[in-house]
Amino acid sequence: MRKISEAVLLIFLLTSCSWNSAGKKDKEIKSENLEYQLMTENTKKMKKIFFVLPSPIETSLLINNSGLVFQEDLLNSTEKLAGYSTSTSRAIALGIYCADLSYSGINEQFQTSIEYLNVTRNLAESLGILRAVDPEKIKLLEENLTNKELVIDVISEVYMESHEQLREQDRYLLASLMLIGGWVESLYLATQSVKPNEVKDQILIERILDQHLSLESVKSVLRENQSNPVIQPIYKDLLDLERLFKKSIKSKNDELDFYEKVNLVGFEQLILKVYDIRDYLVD
Amino acid sequence: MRILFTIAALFFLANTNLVYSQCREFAKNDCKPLLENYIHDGNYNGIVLNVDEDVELHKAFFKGQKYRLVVCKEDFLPSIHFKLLNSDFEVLYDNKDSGYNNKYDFELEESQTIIISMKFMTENKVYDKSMNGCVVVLFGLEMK
Repeated sequence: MRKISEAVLLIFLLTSCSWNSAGKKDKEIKSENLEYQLMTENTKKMKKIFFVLPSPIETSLLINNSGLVFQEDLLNSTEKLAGYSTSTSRAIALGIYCADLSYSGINEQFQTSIEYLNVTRNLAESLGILRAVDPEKIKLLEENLTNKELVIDVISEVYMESHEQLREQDRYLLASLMLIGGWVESLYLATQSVKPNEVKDQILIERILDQHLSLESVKSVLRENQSNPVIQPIYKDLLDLERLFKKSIKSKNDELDFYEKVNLVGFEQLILKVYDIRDYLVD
Repeated sequence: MRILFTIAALFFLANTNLVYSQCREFAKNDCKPLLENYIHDGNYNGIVLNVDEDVELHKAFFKGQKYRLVVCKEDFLPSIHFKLLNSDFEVLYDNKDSGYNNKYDFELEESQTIIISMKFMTENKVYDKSMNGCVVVLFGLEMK
């Protein structure tokens, strides 16, 4: 009877405390004095801070708004899918294919979008992500293959479900790798779409350089797992990328001429660095 | 005792996942429609929040893109007071000035990181401090 009472009390304590991030919860469970934890939690004012990365949809829209032409050869080949055999390579590939899917969908390449949608759904399933898209929505999409809004709606759902389900399953490393894969692929698609010396590409070059603003979020996503052997080389590459962003941006003063704001030598090095990081991630 | 502890822990984990998953469904069914003709960027920023907690979201927004920010919460929770601040902590928008509206459309003159600061409106009422519920922030993009 005493054991049952203890268990009931324990369940009560565990379920009545506030829901917080899983990492913090783990610490709380380990605490020897739950009652004290609850008391301090209820009286102390807390602030939670989150860093949000631009999604591949947002970056694809920035490329599309710049009026650049879709280049199918930039996409990561769907034939590589079978080569992604570990959960970490699949999570990175999921982010990469989500970015390719966004790029295709926003550019109204509907046949390619369907192909990449199937690839991302397969990858998501292989990672244990259930119902990445509502089956009703897929049925609707099959009947309206050229409905751009619907295609993008499905893409945003795949991206959101995949990332969130990984987080809910406490697979934070995989969730982070998926985000990084998507961000790097988006940056790759953008940097490979511009010619540094073309005047018509100057607006997109400036938008690409604006991505340095997201680096803080990217680093914060990876920081906790810095010592992980998968993350380590990626984190180091991102620090190199940060250096090249700084080198490429001469000034942020919008009143200045493009060439007074941008160091094209630095930008060309940045394009090469993004190419190398992406090459490392897809292989 | 070990078995009972395991059962309790499993119950807790299952309950946590259920709450998170309910929050995600709330985002899809109740918040996403508020984006209207803006497309959802695919980022889900949902959290189960206590009434005495503050939250900050840091995100880069880009010049040339029109955004809609939607902040929604479950019906039983107090209203949410949110502000947009730049990196110098200057207030760019305060929803207090528009009757604690839950959405805001904006376009920036220059790309920058914006801090979205949120807290519950609890000034004139007393709430049970252990009260919590789902709060979701979604970003919509205007498609030209």
